[in-house]
Amino acid sequence: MSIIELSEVSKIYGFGDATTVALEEVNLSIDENEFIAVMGPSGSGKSTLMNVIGLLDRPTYGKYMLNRRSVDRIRTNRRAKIRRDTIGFVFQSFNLLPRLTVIENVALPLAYKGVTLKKRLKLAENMLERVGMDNKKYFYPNQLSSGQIQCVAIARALINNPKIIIADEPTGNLDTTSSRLVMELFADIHKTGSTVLLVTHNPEITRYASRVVYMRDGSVILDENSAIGEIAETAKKTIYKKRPKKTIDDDLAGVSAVMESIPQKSPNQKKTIKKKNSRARKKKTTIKRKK
Amino acid sequence: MAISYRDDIFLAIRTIRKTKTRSFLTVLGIVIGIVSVVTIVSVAKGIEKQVSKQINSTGKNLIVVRPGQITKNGSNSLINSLNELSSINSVSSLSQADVNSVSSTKGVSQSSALNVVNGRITTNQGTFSEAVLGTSNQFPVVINQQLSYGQYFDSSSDDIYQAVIGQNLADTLFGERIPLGQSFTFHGQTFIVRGIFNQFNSAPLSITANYNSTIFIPYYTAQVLTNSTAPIYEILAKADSTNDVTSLVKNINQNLLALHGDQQDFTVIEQSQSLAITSGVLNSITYLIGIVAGISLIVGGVGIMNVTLVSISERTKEIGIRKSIGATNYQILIQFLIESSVLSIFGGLLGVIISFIVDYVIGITTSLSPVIDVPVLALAFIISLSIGIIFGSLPAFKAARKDPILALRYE
Repeated sequence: MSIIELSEVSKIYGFGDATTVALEEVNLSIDENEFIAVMGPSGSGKSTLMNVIGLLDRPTYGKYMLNRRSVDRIRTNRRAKIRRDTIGFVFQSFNLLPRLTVIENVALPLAYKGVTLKKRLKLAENMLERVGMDNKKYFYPNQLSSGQIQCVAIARALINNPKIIIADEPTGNLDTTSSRLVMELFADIHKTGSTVLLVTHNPEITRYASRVVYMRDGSVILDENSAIGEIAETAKKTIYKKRPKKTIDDDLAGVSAVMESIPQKSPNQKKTIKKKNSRARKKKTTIKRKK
Repeated sequence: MAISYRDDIFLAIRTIRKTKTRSFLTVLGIVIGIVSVVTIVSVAKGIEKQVSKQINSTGKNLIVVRPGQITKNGSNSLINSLNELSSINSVSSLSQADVNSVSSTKGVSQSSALNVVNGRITTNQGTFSEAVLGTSNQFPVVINQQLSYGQYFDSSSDDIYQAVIGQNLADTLFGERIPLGQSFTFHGQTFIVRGIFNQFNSAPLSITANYNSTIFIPYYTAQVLTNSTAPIYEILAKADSTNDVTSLVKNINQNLLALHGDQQDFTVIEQSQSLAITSGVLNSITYLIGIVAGISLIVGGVGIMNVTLVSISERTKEIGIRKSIGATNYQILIQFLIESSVLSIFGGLLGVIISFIVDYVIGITTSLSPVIDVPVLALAFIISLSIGIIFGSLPAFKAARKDPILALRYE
């Protein structure tokens, strides 16, 4: 059953010559308890897609159904509440509040829900225990390592028991060991029934995903199912060509290799984004989905 | 709507504690404004209290006749009030005939004229220039004042060179608390101290002389010393009853007008009215300082607005994070409104503490007794809170309306 349903969703920034098409008529359907990895080069629209799905941004055109309810035209405060109750965010740059302690950071979403101080501290403590950070609860974020901070950020994202976890390059700033630790946490979350959407540049991460979506120029160009525990087929084509050394250049080379291996956007897929009211025809984006 | 007011308050307090210097500089305008408002209101309250105490102690049936005309044009403007004050010091237009007229008016039980004798007093402690007033022996009865030691002079006594002094002078002039029998020289005559008054309830800034620092000699003696040229400072008359003091004032006024050839170059008023003039002047000064304090508070408010705007700009990312985890615009608005209010109340609190110190200093260096009571504190709190809310609104609205995506990208 689809928990997220995007129909011809486009996101356009700017006006006139400065118009940027961040998302171009994206169709995407995500079922409950899926673990989706989103891959693509910088500027391909991954983060915009996550922002739209996470109700941080509104689509310019198209329909977005969350939990089988249309959410693309609802009011700002209603969006905030849905975000609070249904979606948990994990960011590449962690985004913890530096002036709050670990436990206060984790408990913060509960405060916006109106949970009493005592209860939310108790819940936050439980959540920190779950991510193995209960011994650091009174630390400030600047007293922790990157991996530890990301664990706290995950705890914060989970505190409201959201159905959907959106993680935008959660391992981007982490070393290999911390990345593995964090990804194991995501795998655990997935096992408890949550839907996980995870943006990554690292093909290795696709081991944790049940489905990998590839994006380029604002469109979803490839959507493949992947067995958990194995690297996705398309990603695999590149990763073992050359064992990447751990330098930034190698990483970038790895990303380029992934992109080389995935198909280019076909010319007939290009569409002109016009104003919604003047758009009579509806093009269907062809998404190759390997069954 | 679920809002974490308590969290926001704690967070605001934590912010102030972490940025002490910045917070202090931000609220300086508020502090100055609150100090001005609290001080002036407390001083005014103190005076009001002292005035009512004086009225109560002298009795409501006291009528005062003063030289010069205190004009009242029906307006309460500052200029008018100051005119009233200045008119008090005009040259005496009262004469002995007026004194007799007042004392013989029907309904006056006792009366006493006060004339001023200028000159210096010499005691064994040195030479002083204190106020010397000639009064009749009815003076203590008229103003309803007891003597703490000795007795008031008797007009039938042969010894005309005797004096009664106000309590404050005992130590100043003679270096002892009860200088009964001590002597001083005035206009070449040696006066003996026969009595010492109880402490007078004297209102500060009053147009009435401070009797606690006055030497009283017999009216007749004053005439003798100055060859009857001593100007009459005022005539005090006590009405039979408190019932119809107003009509008695009218009667006295009519009698005196007849003596002065229909020239209103004197003023007949009730004691309470006389003190009300002081209050009027004080009110005008209060308004003036109030305006200055108001400007200071506005400047302080703008300071808070400025710093809150900077703070919001610095914390754009925080706003983005909070929104991403589910904070509504309203909750962000409330958070920043609470921050500016807490900052402003902190300024108000600081202002009140400084006001206590300022009032204490005023109390020990002047005759004023400022009163800081609950309404004054409530006023300070309400002003501070209002400033915080009013000047915090614009930045808070700005924060609340920030786009979460742009806020999250802000570095």
